[in-house]
Amino acid sequence: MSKQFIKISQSSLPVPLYKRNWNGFILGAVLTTTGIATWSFVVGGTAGIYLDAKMGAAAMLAGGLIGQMLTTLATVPVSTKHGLETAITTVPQLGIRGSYFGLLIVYCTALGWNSVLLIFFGRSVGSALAVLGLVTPEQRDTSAWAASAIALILIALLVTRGAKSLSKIGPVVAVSIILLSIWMMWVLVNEFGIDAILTAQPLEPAAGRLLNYTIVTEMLIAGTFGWWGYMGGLTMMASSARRALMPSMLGLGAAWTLVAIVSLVGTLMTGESDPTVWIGEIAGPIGTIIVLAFISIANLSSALIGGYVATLGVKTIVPSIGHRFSWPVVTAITLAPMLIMLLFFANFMYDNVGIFMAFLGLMIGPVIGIQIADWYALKRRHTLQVSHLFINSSESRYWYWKGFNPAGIAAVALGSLTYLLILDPLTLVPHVSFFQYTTATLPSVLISAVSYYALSRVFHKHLEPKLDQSSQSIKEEKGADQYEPHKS
Amino acid sequence: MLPENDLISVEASVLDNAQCGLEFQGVDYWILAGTGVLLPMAILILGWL
Repeated sequence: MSKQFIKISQSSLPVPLYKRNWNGFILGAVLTTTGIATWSFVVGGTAGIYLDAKMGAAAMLAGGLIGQMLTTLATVPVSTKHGLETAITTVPQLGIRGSYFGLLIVYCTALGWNSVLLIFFGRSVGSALAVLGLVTPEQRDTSAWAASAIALILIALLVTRGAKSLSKIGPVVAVSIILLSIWMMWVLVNEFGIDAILTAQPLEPAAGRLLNYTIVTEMLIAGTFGWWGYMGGLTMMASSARRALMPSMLGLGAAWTLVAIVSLVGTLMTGESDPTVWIGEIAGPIGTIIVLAFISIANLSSALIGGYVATLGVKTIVPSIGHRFSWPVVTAITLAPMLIMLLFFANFMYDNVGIFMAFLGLMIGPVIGIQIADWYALKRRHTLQVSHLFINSSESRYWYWKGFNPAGIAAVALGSLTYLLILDPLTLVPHVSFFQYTTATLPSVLISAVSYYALSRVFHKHLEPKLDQSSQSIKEEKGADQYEPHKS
Repeated sequence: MLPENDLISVEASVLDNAQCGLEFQGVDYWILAGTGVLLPMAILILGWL
C-alpha cells in the first residue's frame, strides 16, 4: 500500500509530546502575563461606571471564570492532545478554507490589541521621560512614537526565537506584575480605607441593580473570550490537558480580573480610570514612574505573546506564506501591518479599537460554541485525523463544500446574530429584557453549538460519503513520488 | 536574499499516529465545573447579598 506524504512547514508541525515541556508554573506564568495589560485597567475602569467595589469585583471575577471555562473547553483538549495552535483547530468545524476565518480572528485580535498595547507603551515611555525631565513636553509625542516602533521591532526579534523567549520571560514578568498589583491595592487601601472603598458608589450606573450586575459579568465573559486566539499556541506546550487546566483558569480566568479589580477601586475612589493619573495623585511622581514601568512591562509581554501566536497562525494556515518563507521572514510579514498601524494610524486605531474588538468578540463566542459541540457532541475527540488538517486541497476530509463547512459557517452566523439581537456590543445597551438573566454571550454560544450539532447531523449524509471517498482516493492515488521530500 | 524556508515532507500516518497528550479525565471535569460554574455562581450570590 502506497504511503501518503504531506508538505508541511517544519515550524507548523504539531508539537510532539516529548517537546511539550512547559510545566504548570511556566504555563500559568505565561498565561498570566498574557492576560494582564492595559485592557485590565480599561475593563476595571468601565466596571466602575456600573457597579460598586463589592459587586464589581464579584461580577468581574465570576465573568472571567465562566468565560475562561468555555474557552478552556474549546481549546485545551485538542491543543494539548495533538500539540496544535488555535487557528488550525478550527479546520474540522469551518473547513480548510473556512479556517482562514479562524486565522482572521486570531490575527485581528493580535493586531488590534498589539497596536493598542504598543501605542500605550509608547505613551507611557513618553510620559516617563517627560516626568524625569529627559524630554520636553513638545518632544513627548515623538518619543512615544519612536518607543512604540522600537518596541515592535524588539518583539519581532524575540518572536523569531519562538516559544523559548516566552517561557523565559513569562515567570519573571508574572511575578513582577502580581507584586506591583498588590502594592497598588495597598496604596489605595492606605489612602482611602476599607470602609470608604466599600461604600463608594458607581459613577454612572444604568437603571436596575441586576442589569448593571449582568452588564459587567457579560463584559468579562466576552472579554475573556478574547484569549481564545492565544490559547492553542501556548497550551500546546503542555503535555496533557490536566497540566493546562488550572494555569488556564487562574492565569487567564482570574489573574487579569484581579488587576481589573485594582483598577475598579482606583476608578471608584478617584473618578479616573487611568491608573497613571490616580496613582500620581496618591503616590506622587515616583508612584507614576512605577506604574508606568508596570504597564510597560505588562504591555510588552502581552504584545510579544500576541505577535507569537499571530505568526504561528499565519505560518500554519497560509501555505503561500508558511511554505515559502522561514519563521523569521513570516514573523516580519505578520508584524509589518502592526508597524504600519503604529506609524500611520496610531490615533485612529486607539480611538476605534473598542468598535473593532466588539465585533471581533461577538464572533469568537460562536466559534467557541461550535468547537465544544464538535469535540464532545460530535465526538471529534475520537475521529480527528491530524494529517488532514494540513492538506490544503479537496483531498482533505475537512474540505467539505468548496473548502467550507456549511454547518460551521451557518452556526457562527446564527450565534453572532443571536448576540446582536440581545445586546448592542458597542454601547452595551440590551435590546431585550431577558438579557439581565442570560447575558448575550452565553445564549450566543448555546445557539451556535446547538445549531452546529443539528446542521452537522443534517449535512452528514451529503458530506460524509464524499469524505470517505476522498480519503480513499488519497490512499489509492497518491504516493511518495508526488510528494518529493524538500530539504529543510 | 530571503532565508531558506523550512518545508519538509511528512508521512501522513506519522502525524495521525503521533503520541497524544492525555485528555481531561473525570476529575478534571469536576474541577472545571467547580471553578467555571459553581465558584462563579457562589461569587455572584455573595456579591449580590
